Amino acid sequence: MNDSSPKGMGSQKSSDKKELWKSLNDYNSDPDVLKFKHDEFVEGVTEDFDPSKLSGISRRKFLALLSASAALTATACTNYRDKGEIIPYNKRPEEIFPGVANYYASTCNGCGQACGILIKTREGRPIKVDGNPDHPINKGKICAKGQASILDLYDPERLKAPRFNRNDISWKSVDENIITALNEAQRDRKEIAIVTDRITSPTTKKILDDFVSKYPNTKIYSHSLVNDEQRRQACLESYGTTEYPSIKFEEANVILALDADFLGNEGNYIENMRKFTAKREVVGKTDFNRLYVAEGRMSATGMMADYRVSISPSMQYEFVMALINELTKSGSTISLDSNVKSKIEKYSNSFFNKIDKEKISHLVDDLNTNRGKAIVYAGDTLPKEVHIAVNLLNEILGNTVLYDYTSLSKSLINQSTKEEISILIDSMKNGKVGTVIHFDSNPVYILPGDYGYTSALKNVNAVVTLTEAENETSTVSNYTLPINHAFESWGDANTCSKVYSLQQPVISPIFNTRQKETVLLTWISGDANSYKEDLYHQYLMNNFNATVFVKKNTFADAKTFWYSALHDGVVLLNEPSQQNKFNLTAFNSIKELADGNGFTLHLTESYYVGDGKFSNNGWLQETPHPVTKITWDNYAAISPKLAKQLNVEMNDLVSIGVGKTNLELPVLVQPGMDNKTINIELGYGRTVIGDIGKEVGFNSVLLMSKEFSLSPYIYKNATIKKFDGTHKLVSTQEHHSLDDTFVKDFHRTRKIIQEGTVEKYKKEPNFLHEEKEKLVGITREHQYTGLKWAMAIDLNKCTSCSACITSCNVENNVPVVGKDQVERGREMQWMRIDRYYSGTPDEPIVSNQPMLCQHCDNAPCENVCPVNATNHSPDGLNQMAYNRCVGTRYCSNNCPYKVRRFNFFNFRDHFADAYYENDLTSLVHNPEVTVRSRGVMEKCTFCVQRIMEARSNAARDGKTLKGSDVVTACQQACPTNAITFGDANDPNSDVAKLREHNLSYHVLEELYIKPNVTYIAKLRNTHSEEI
Amino acid sequence: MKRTVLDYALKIRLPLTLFVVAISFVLTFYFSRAERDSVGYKPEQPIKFSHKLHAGQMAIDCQYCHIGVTKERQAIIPSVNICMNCHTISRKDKPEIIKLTKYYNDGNIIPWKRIHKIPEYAYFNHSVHINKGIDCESCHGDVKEMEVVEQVKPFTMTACLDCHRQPEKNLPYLKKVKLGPEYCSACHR
Amino acid sequence: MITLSKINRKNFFEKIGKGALAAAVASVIPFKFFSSIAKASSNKNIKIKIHPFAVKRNDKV
Repeated sequence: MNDSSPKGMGSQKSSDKKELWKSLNDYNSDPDVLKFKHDEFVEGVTEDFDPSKLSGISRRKFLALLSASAALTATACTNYRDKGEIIPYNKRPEEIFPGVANYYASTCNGCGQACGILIKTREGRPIKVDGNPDHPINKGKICAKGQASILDLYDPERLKAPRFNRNDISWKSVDENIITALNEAQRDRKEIAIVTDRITSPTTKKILDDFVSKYPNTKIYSHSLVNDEQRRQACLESYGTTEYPSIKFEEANVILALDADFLGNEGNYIENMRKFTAKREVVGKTDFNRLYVAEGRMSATGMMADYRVSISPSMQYEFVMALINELTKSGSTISLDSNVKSKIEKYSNSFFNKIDKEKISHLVDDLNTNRGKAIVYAGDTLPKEVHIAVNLLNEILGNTVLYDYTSLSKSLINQSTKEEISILIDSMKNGKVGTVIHFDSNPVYILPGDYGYTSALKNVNAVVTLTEAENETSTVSNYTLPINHAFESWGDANTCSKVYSLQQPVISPIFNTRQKETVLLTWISGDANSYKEDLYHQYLMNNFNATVFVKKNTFADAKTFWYSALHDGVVLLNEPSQQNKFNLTAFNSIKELADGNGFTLHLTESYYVGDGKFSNNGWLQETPHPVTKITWDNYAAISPKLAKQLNVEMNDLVSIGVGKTNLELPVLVQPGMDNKTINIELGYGRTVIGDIGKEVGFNSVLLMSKEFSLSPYIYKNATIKKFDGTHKLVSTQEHHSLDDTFVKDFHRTRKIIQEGTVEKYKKEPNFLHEEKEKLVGITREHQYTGLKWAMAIDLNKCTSCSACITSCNVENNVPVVGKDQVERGREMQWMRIDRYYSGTPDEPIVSNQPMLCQHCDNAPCENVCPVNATNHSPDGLNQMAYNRCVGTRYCSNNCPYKVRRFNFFNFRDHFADAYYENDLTSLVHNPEVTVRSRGVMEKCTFCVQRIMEARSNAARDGKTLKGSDVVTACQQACPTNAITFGDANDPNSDVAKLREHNLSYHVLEELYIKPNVTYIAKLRNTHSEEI
Repeated sequence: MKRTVLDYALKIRLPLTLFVVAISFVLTFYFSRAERDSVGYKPEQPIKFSHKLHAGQMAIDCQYCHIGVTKERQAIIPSVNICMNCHTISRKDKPEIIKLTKYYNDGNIIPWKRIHKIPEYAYFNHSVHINKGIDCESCHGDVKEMEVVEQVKPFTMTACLDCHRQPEKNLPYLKKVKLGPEYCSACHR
Repeated sequence: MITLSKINRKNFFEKIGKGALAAAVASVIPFKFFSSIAKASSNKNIKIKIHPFAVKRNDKV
């Protein structure tokens, strides 16, 4: 039957017999039920289904459209044309012209020499430190430590707020508590001890004196880890004053340095270097001086020696006495009494056979012929007795005319003696000391362990430490008070009698720190509410007016004079000077010093980390040691013979024993060392310090003792034993074995180092160029008309001080890479100083050579770059476009000098967990130089940013650019002016003249890549014509 | 051989698809060039400063505000105190000036939207260009007629090099002009 | 012979391949969003202020 109703359960023909029914109505086929079954939905529940009224879009289409529009919206979400904001000042400070650098004169406080500096700031933040040309001592140059010290201002782990027993506390509470503690100590008749490092500032000294007036129980103690106390004590006994004169090295024909690193790390070595190289000038006259060095270790000065003998520091006394004996045979300028004669006659010249007979005979001859024009100079670490003997020797030889009495080295506060410190510690142990204030000092680290300082501190009520960063002393103090960095501080310095220099802040304190002198002034006033940030500034100005202004008869009023002094940074003083008579009883009563039987341990200050204060400075830790080129470590340096005796190689651990203490550290085999001397640098192994310096090196202060027989730095009867284990020492320069015949003297056969002697140069000035071949090129060569940049480096003057390297690092935003990367040869310094040995391992001859991009005319790196990222500019520079570089490294492969550095990582991110990648440290970057990321090649650019700035200034002033307008960072930093830079096409420029000099040569000249860095060969002033 | 689906796809569909994709990419690339180089970029600034009024109608010299342009690399967007030289008094009741004064008094920065920007690895030096006699309009367009500043020229390296290589074309008002530097380190350091 | 099992295997691996591509692309997108947010919100909590009493020495500009 035709039934239009849908088939299914429950729809049946009404006449069918029902098998299944749901209700009685259903059974009876009620029409309502039938209708109900017919419609799926009850009426009115749904709307009419009208296909024509349906939306034209299907569900599928709708979904597709929805997702597509969502995707398009997502892409349109970013405004790809948005270039961010550009934000000017709200109220522009008058001093700041955005984009133009400001320079401020100030004083460096990296060591005790207080060199004058010029701080370059951009938009209010310091970015570079250089020497102050107006300062008569350092004359516009500072050392590597001074150059890199700017990084400490931006150290992310600087203390930012005062702390009391690990909790934060406000300055006001600190002041109140400490004033209370000080008054209590006064009342209870307990001592108040202020422990300082070396004080170079007369105004700080005045404040300390004021403090003592206010709190009479106060005693001031001064102790530095590395000091010249031995020399001062000797001067006091010999001449009656602790202020010793500086030496006129520039007038000395012969210099004998006894364990004296005067060109490397002693005294004001910047000034010493300049004076010394004044008589090593090859342009013009050749009136060379002659340097004799007698030392146990190999120091930077030893590398410069014409004649070098190795002698243990504990034998120096005998050596000097033997010299006195020998030289008095030919007469003496001062009259000697019989006591002197009987004292010296024990020391016969047979002693010289132990050292080197031939060299010493030359020395004796030279000292005799140059009486009054020579100097014998003993090092700071040698015992006082040796200094007194040397003073007498100079008197005998009449060398005291070379003492500059207008330039005396002042000591504002004498170093505390062993007895004074022991008394302090005993008082502390007996609870008789109420407060100890560590005034920017770290005695827990620098005092020898047998003082027992740390445990004695526990008995003091209030231990206060004023410091920039957390150190070993602040962790055991109650109050840790953060002080301003040097660049945020006022100050002055008077370390030399003829100069008074001022220190001014170039930036307001970045964090909640205070000037340490202002803190003391608040405590002196006794009222915590009297603090004003300007307190020390006013005090300094008043002291300046009272002490300096009144002495200078100027027409200016006090205020004007103050401003001009701040502008210049220095005020020259004319202190009256007098030459004192030598006190012979001093010599007659000195204790005889005998050598020991065992080994002699010689502890010296680290070249770049100082006494430990720069341990957290990545740039300095990574600057290679001038002699060993080791980074990120210290070590026990021993001679090759001793190493063979102990059966140790480099990196093997040894155990050094002095008295009852032992220290395990790795060995470094140093050619040229004395066989019984062990040399370890101080300033490493700090335990409480930022992440950079943590666990770097080994703390050799542990081997120091308050009971020393010779000096605090020289210990005889030391033991050395092989110890299990190794510690990898990382050097930027491979040690080619001196005995390997293949590589022996490679640098000479390949003419990388070309040297001569003064004798040979006098006879044949052109000896270097005699065998020169004519080189032929096969390509069409570019002719450089117009300005062509070139550089000349005088190897006679380079002492490997590395000021150039650190200056380049700061100027060009060179990253720190860390020890593990330096191990792989990935250090990023654009400039390096190569050190080559020749001769024998026992008597090596050392040559230094700064190496940087040579900016070759036929550069092998330029024609292999697949993307043309490196090419040549019309003014002679090899230029580098970082954004084009894809990191093929073919250019570095081709470079024969290997001066190209590749960013294997984004080192700012990679080093020490992005330690230097933070908002604070980013402020140190030079805004004119790109900060390179991963995957690009970089190298020396001859400071192209300075060249471009000079071009811009010349265009602005309507002048033509001259070669002398541009000073590269390395040239500016070199203390001896060994680096000359300028226009090679200008026949009157220094560089052009040096390129034509008889002693000029290029490294790897035979490759005909035409480098633009000319080296002036080193002349050694020996008696022979051969080296 | 039997024709399979793959045959058809490879011989017809694939080349056709590739061709369509390539053509659409190339056409889009070239036609969007100006837009991508930000020519015509005219963002809204936090304060409705009108160069047409100040530089055009009132004829204030460019260098009154943009002080660095003859001295150093940067041209310098003026700091708020330069605006306040006049606007502490002039039109100080107008809404935009009230906004400006509020910024000044509160010591807040005005976040001007930057229009002309080259990548950070390129170092442009304004003073060299100005000191050689090049006018502001040659690169920034007729700013004196702009209510809201927009970028009129592309600041791509090609655009710079075009002018460096043929300066007479863009700088007809200069009698004697040398070629600009073409070597990398002039801009890239 | 192309059996049903082979077609099933082919489909299965195609699904896996497409899924892997999609996952690779999808995994990168959130990083792009986060990096743009992170770059925008680097607070400069360090205030640089020159010292008002310092005396500078410059060539005049």
